[in-house]
Amino acid sequence: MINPRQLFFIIALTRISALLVLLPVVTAGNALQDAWISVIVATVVAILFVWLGAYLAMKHPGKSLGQFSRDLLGKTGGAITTGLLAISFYVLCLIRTRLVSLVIISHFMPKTPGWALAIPVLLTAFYGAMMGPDTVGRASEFLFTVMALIIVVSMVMSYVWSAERVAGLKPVLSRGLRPVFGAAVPAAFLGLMSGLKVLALGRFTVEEHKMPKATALALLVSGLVLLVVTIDVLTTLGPAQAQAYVMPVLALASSVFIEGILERLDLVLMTAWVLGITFDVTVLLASSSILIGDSLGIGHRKVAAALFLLGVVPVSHRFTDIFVMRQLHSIPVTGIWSAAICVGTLAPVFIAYLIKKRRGGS
Amino acid sequence: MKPRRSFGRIPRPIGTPAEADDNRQDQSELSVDLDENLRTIESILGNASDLAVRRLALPGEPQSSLAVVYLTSLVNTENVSLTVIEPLLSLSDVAYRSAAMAADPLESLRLTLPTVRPISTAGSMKELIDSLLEGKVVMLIDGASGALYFDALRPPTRLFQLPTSETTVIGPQIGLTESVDDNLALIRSRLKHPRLRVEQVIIGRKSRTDVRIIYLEGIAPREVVDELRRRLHEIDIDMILDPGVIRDLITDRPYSPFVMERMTERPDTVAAEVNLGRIALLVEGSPFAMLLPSQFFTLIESAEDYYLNSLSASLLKLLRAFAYILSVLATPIYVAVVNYHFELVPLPLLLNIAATQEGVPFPLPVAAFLTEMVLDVVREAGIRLPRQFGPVVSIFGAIILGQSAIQAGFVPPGLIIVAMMGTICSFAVPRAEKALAYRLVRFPLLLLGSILGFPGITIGSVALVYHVASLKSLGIPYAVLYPPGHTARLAKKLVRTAEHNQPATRPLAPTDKVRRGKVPEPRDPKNGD
Amino acid sequence: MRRIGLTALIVFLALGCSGCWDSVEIEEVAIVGSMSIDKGQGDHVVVSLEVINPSALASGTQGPIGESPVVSVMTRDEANTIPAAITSAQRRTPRKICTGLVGTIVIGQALAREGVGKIIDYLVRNATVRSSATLTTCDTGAGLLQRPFMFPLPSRTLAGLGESALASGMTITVTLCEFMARLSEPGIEPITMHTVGRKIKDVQVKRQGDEVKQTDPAVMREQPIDVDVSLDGELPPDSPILNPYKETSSGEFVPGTTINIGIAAYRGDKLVGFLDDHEARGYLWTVGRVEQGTIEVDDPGGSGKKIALGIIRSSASVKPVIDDDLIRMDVELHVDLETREAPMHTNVNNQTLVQALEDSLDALILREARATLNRVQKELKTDIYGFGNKVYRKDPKLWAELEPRWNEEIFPNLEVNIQVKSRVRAPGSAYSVANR
Repeated sequence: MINPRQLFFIIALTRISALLVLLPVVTAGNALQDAWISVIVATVVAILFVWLGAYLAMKHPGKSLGQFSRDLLGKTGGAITTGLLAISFYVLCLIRTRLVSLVIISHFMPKTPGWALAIPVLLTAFYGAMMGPDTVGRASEFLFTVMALIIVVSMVMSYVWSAERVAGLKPVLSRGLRPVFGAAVPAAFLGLMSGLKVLALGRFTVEEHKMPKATALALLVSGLVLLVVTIDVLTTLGPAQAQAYVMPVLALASSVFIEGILERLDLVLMTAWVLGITFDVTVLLASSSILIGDSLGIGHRKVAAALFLLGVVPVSHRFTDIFVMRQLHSIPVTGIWSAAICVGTLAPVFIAYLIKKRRGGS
Repeated sequence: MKPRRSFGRIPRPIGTPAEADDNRQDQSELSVDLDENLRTIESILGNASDLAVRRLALPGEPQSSLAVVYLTSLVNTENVSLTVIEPLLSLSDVAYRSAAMAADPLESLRLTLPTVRPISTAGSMKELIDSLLEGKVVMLIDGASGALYFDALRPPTRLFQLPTSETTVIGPQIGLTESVDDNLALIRSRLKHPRLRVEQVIIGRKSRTDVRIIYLEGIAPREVVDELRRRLHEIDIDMILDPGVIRDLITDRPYSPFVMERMTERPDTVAAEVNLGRIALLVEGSPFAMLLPSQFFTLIESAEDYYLNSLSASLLKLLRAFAYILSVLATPIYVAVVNYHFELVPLPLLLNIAATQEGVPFPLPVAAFLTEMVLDVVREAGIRLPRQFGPVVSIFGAIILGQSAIQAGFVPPGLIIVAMMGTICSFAVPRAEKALAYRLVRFPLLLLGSILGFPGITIGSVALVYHVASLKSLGIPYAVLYPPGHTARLAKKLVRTAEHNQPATRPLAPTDKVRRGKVPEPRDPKNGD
Repeated sequence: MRRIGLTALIVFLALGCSGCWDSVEIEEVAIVGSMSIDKGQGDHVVVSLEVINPSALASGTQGPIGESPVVSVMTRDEANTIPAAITSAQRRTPRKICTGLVGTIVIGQALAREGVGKIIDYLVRNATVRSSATLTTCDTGAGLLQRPFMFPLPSRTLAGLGESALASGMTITVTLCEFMARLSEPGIEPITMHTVGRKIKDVQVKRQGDEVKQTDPAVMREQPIDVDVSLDGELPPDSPILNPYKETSSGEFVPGTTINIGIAAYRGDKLVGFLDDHEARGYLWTVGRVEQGTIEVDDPGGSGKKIALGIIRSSASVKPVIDDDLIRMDVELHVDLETREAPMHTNVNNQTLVQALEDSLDALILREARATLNRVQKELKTDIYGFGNKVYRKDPKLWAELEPRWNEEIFPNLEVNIQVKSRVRAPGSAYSVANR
């Protein structure tokens, strides 16, 4: 059983690590110096939709989406809506595993084969998913503390010790709102994905009435962290140059130089990121196995084992490379994906719930 | 729970039949004839050399006789005459005859004997033999088919001494001993509360060890106590010599390197933990009490935290936490950074490290493994050293060996520094039984660091965090960083700090009321306070 | 279930042990402390790397008797692109060259005038070079990394010189990160530190009975190496840039040392000119980056001598004023100073004296800033001040119109009002009794 505070930690941690190093608000889309507004927009949008999901989870205590969608929409409808979300979680899990291994390898350890990092990440995720949600919740307390500490220290160091800032955030909104919204799409998508895990984990949460608040707070806090990081990146690297990086935050970190103590900070931040992503992959795997298991009536541990074995090959095979990975985080792909989830999962279930409430008063 | 197979069992020659386990004679009733009873006792115990039989003739009844039977090795023989023989002999004629004519002579004798010690009745030979073996004095009367036994004339154990495994700078300097009664005395004198429950469980087929469960009813969660009792009753094993044996049999996760029960030699620690809702297990024959359920974050607590002021104690705890993390991660991080990510190291330091590593034949991961293993061997040797050899081996092993290895160029000095730092940090952690955890955990992390560098260590650490987070001690989660109600307490702590003059501890049950004590308002005598 | 996991783990570990793919033993690595890139024949670049020998630096190690071990080695390779040059250096080096710890990158003047875009692209595209590495532009390029001074390593010397140069207030260190930000930001042009080479003379000295070669400290300055750089891209074949080992006309062998003297101004990625000494300080006043230094003013008390004041801090605020089509920049400088040396009989506590001092300081600083501004506007025609950036931030639409003509037409004629307010904050801690 996890309590709402652990839910908060889980969602905040997964969202921060999803967006941290790659910072799609800066690299995808064309927002340039307004990217920080994109962060705010993305957070707001994510909170709106995730609140819907958390509300639904709260109204059905002890049940995950797999179960209550079956109640609301019947067996087939429930299976489709749950399946859409569950498969999204699973595919995202595999994508992120591959992404973390490819990015680290291409930047730090070029000769290591892709599977050498991908498989340990997936294995650890499998272990965590097997241990169950309360283990994941307890682990999230510690991991969130560590991650928060690293990020705070890194940001402080970056503000104190880095280069002279020539770039600024002005002129604000000089290019109109369209690029801002465009850049917000991948971030909103990832925020949505992080927050919607409540639909799976809600089953295990005690004190359900606190769930929506905890989820919203998690998205808010992680949005704040991302705002600080984005502003730092934009002012240090310059908006146009930042957009050209694959991993802007690591470039920012390598501009921190403390004589005699630290040559560059990017390895520390990378560690925090790997920590976060491993946890993120764990929660994604656990959530998808919970949803699939509940929908089909199997125990979620068995589903997790099956998903793990299924995922080993795609994650290690050479045909997925970093260009494909970047495509998968681009605006059109994430836009369509999030639309599909909202329309395919959230909307039907919510509408069915409203209908049921109006009809039956239950 | 599986009884543990002992590796030291002597193999039986082929062809000899297995011996019968239980002696059937045990089940017999006591006969009326005193001599027959005595013969049976002697044959069951195999003419034990420490079996003492003292026949007494009571005044006024020359033909009846009493026999007092006991094991001289278990019973304090000076006391026997004082507390057993004299009361018997001082029974007047009248009292004896009236007892003899009562319906149950044994019972009335039991009630009238002028001795302070409680007296029980044994109905069967098995009970009699068992009580003999437990150190009780048995009294047999010719003509009565029962026996009386006097409770617990304990032999003197050693005097109270320093708790050698957990020394502190300030605080009580007394440690538990091997005698359960003495230990109970120490604990009861610190917790004089009527709700302190002491339950007895006898465990072990051959050792029949006296195990006591101690807890505060109402504060220790009832489910936990019930669970513990259930597990203890399910143990089926030959011998219990130490709480550690019990631990292996009742633990939730026998294969984890993290130990989920805490052992302590200090009665003040036992009392404090029992007050917080934990359960203490005292085992006859071991000076260590086992406290369950345990929490991971207590590994940075030491007994001194109760006696130092709270700020110092908190800072020391932070220091110990840092030391623990360093002891686990120091060598793996060093290997990972120097082998994969040397760009992280400032250039002057890197040049020094590179210079010292010139000419070392082993690749760094291999040297790291060797160094860690040698350090572990040195640590083991340090524990087992006979005292005479102590200084010699420490000088030879640590200093000369290390120095020569560096000068010969076998191991890079940077690695030695880091490994030694890790070892010393590990001694800063006060819990001896957690020591094994980090020693085991370091090697997989070192392996991961050698193969995959920093990301490998990170992933391994996450897996480790999952493992620790999944542990449960008697059903209570082991590693809870922010217990429920933590934020409220933290806010209170920031706002009104004077009220809390004890370091943060983790009570288990929501109904727990742990009163921390208020710091009194300062009074100024000049103002008439 | 546990068995599956355990088996998977063991299989993976076994596979993993087959090779630590990226594990690099530190003693097999050639650490590069600094890099210099210069123009070669035709389209080539000449890359020089300072490769450090760590064991020579370690305390307690001995080289061959009578000589100290070689601390660093310079390589020099020419190729079409920088990575190709490094690879060709690698072919001659028994250790694997690692550029991850490069602290300073020196760019030769000839190449800089043609455009450093290639270099920047190389540095940014590789994750290895940290973006806090400093860039300097040098008159004559590569050979000047050779001679360390006061530190055992040339890279350390360069880094130290860069930092200590800040104390003069006449130059600043510019990191790769800042250079790139300036390149990509509209309306502001990049700068780097300007380094020159100076020849030093070696003399034979008798020390403890042996003849030892030592730098003659008396001859350590102001003998510039002869440079003949024709700016249309073709170097004379005996140019010291191509052959820094060649003896010059004075007949002495030329390993040189470097000193930092000012700022190199770029337009886009091309070098346009140098601002040295007081010119550089004039620039730094206007952007508020003078942190230390000394100013000498005539004594207002009439003694005919000079008072030396130390700069404590300075700040500048630049405001663009746009009405209709006229753009004006208002610059306000605030400078805090303290007295460091005064001639005899001058009482620096006197209020009127301080006032007069401040006035002459204002005038002096204004003169410096104006002089530089004139040169930059009229001669160099590159907006290193970032005035265009200010316009961009205030009114992006206007900037979009003006940008194509900014550097050539508008900036040279831009009206800039500079106002200086200096404050002498302290008279020092005591005055010399002899000064009465």
